[in-house]
Amino acid sequence: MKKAIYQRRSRGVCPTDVSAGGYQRKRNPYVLTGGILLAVLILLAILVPVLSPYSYETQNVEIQNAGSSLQHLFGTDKFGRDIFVRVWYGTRISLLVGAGSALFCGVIGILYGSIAGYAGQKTDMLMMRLADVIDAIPSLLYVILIMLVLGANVGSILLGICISGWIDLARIVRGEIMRLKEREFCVAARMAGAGTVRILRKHLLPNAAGPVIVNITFQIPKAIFTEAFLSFVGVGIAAPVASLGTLIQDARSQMQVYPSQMFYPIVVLCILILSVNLIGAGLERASRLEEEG
Amino acid sequence: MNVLSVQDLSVQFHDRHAKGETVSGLSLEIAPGEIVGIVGESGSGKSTAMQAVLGLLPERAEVMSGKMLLNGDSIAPPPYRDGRPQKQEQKAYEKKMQQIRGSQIAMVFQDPLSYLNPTVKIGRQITEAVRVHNKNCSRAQAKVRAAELLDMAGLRRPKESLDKYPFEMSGGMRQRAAIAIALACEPKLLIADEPTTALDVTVQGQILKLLARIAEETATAILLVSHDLGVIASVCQRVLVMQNGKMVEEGTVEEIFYDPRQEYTRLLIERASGLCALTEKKISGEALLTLKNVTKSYHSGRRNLDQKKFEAVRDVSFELYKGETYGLVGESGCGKTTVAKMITGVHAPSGGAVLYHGEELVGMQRQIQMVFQDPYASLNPRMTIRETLEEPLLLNTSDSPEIRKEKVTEIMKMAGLPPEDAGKYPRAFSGGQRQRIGIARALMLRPELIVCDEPVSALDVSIQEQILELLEQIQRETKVSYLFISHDLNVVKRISQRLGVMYAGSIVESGATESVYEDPWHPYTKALLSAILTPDPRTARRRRKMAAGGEQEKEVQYDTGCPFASRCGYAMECCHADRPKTYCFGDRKVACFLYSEEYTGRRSNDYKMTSQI
Repeated sequence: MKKAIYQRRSRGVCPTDVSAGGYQRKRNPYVLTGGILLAVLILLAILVPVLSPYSYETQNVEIQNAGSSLQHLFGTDKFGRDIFVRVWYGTRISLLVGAGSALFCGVIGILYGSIAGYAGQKTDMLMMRLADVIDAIPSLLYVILIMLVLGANVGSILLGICISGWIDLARIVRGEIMRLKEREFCVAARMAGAGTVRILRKHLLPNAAGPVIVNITFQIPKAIFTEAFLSFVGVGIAAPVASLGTLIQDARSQMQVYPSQMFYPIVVLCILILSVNLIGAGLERASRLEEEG
Repeated sequence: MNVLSVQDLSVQFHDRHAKGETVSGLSLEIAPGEIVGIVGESGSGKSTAMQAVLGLLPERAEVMSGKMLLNGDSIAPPPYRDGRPQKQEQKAYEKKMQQIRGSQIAMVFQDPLSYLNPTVKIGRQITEAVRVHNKNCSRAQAKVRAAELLDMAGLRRPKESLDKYPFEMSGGMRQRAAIAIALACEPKLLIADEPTTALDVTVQGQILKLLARIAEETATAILLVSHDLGVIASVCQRVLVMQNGKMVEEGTVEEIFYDPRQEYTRLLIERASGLCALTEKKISGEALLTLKNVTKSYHSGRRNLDQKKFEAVRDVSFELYKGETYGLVGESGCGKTTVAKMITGVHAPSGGAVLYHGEELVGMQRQIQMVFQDPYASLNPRMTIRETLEEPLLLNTSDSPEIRKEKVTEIMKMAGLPPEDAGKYPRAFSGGQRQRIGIARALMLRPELIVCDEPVSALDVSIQEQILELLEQIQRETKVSYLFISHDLNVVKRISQRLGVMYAGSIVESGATESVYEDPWHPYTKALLSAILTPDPRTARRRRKMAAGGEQEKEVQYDTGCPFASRCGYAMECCHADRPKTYCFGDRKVACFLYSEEYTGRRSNDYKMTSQI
């Protein structure tokens, strides 16, 4: 699985002749491109299943394995189901899993990391060792076990991914908090009477925002890929629910004869992951430039 | 023939921060064995010019020069076409400069800790420098040469130092090692860019003496860049004054200091000597803050086993009265910041008590506020100035937003900041302005005591002057008391009425500022005062030998004897055996056996004690 590595640059001395006013937002081509791609995909994922005359599970043996046509933009699979509709149903699931895991892992990771980083010493040590233990077990194992208990649906996959998905973020947040805790502006805030919550909310977390946002953003493609992979392998979403992974799995048996059936879900999956990666890269660049500025 | 001859050097940065030329039209000549000083405030382009000579600037800096000769050979960088560098010419230039750097021109930078590789031993760093330029040199020969160089640089045990890492050495030793690396290949020119700025006052003089000796013994030309006129006055023969990238004046050191022709030069010299002036003020009232035998010790190592106790602050006692400024002076590592942290409540003392208005301090008090040293780290970059200044009011009062806005405007005016700037972020302000914001923040709750922890150390001389004036003005208007902590004696002399001198965790002397300066009693105070570099060339050269060699060591067990005994020129046997108590004579206190009754003999009660050194 890909891990985003955020590199810290040391702060240089600010030039003495700084221009007045706040900083200017530079045009960021990565965020723009990624944003547009993602927006298009989300739009299609929402609208197509609603507007399409076909459902994702009606089988029609007569038109099985058809190629692309005006009625079936992506053709049909071996059961005669319209691939176009199924692809966008699958994208919905991917987006749900991605966004859900980012949200959940983001909140838990930030909370856990803040408490561990700010408290320090014993509390920090206990919390981090617990996180290490949870992290040691591969997430695949969690997903399989939860699937057995709760059944093969989107919720189980989400839960399985989220059990250990927050730990990376917690470590990053903890590191940032520990770095910023002893800075003079925090000491000044304590002297003015600020309590722990206020210091975290107003002083520490906003300054730690850079790597945190980047990490959360990269959590999304990680989760999307995990879900697709698990569905492909057969441990994830079960048929006939359309997930991009199951689509690819279904098309595998006739890969040599009808390659287009595998082609479409793969392309959509790649574009989805690419768009979020671009957004993440753009945000990382923006936060690095802001640091240096 | 001149070692370096530069004519019409200009540097232009091609990036979004560029505002005109960083250096324009600089010309200089330097002969073998000469020491030339380049003086200017920060931002005047002196370091950039030096890096341009060596070709160390990044690609976005375009260097143009009419002529740049090193011993007659041209080392001018290739010109840019259409604002872009030419790849082939750049490569050839880089290759040529690699031969020149280190062997013909060497450079020593400001902070030896960031300049030396922290994971490589000193010996290896020097031998590397030797072997890069001399391919036939074997490892053993290089090692011998390295030991020679360290000896020349003044390190006491050169062979042992070869195996040390930079973090195991003190600041002065590191700078000596850096100078040894620079001299490894016997360069014709040594460029020293603020070599003593990061060092203690007593070490500064030693390093400058070393540079002067090197110039004399090896006929190496030295270009000394500094913002400190005292440094320039003590060793340089010729001086160049720079302002905003242009050379303002050039001449011999006597001409520049005693007969400056340009207005800017005159201003610089006035400010440098003017900072030594004394303020007259009267103290009145009760003791606001009392420290009684305050101790702070840190434990390292596991409990109950080989636990080492390090006392950062040991047995410190003093009193601060209402409306006065008490100065706490000491070099880095003496424990003054730890004392500040205990007074403001960040740390709790391990022993003794800090009394405020007679009651023991518990935690942080709103009546005691602090102004920090680093103006760049003391403001939250994500909060506007208004938010930063309103925070103390939000947390401690129930004022409505309008009243808060009014108070913020009032304090900003008092601190000399335009109230319209309240909506800006800290990055829009310069160092001096940020320090004003820090002072404004400390004033928001109208405290009785403000602890100023080196508030002007990171600022230029002219800005220092403004900030000190601001602090004095605020004290006149609001009758606030200051605890002013600094390592810079000139600044403390100007702003405080009473002071305490700290060494290795305890106060060695305290009393009225004027009398301590005119008549120091403790040998360490005398060493500190004699180490101040006055911006006056004649007195600088006539200065007597220093009263203390060596440096303050970081972690030494002080159970036996006076901590200063190893460096003291007046040490007696009892100094190595017991710690001296603090002996009081009126308002002067001194912790030295020279003033104890056993040494001075019994005197009558109204005998007026004077300096014993």
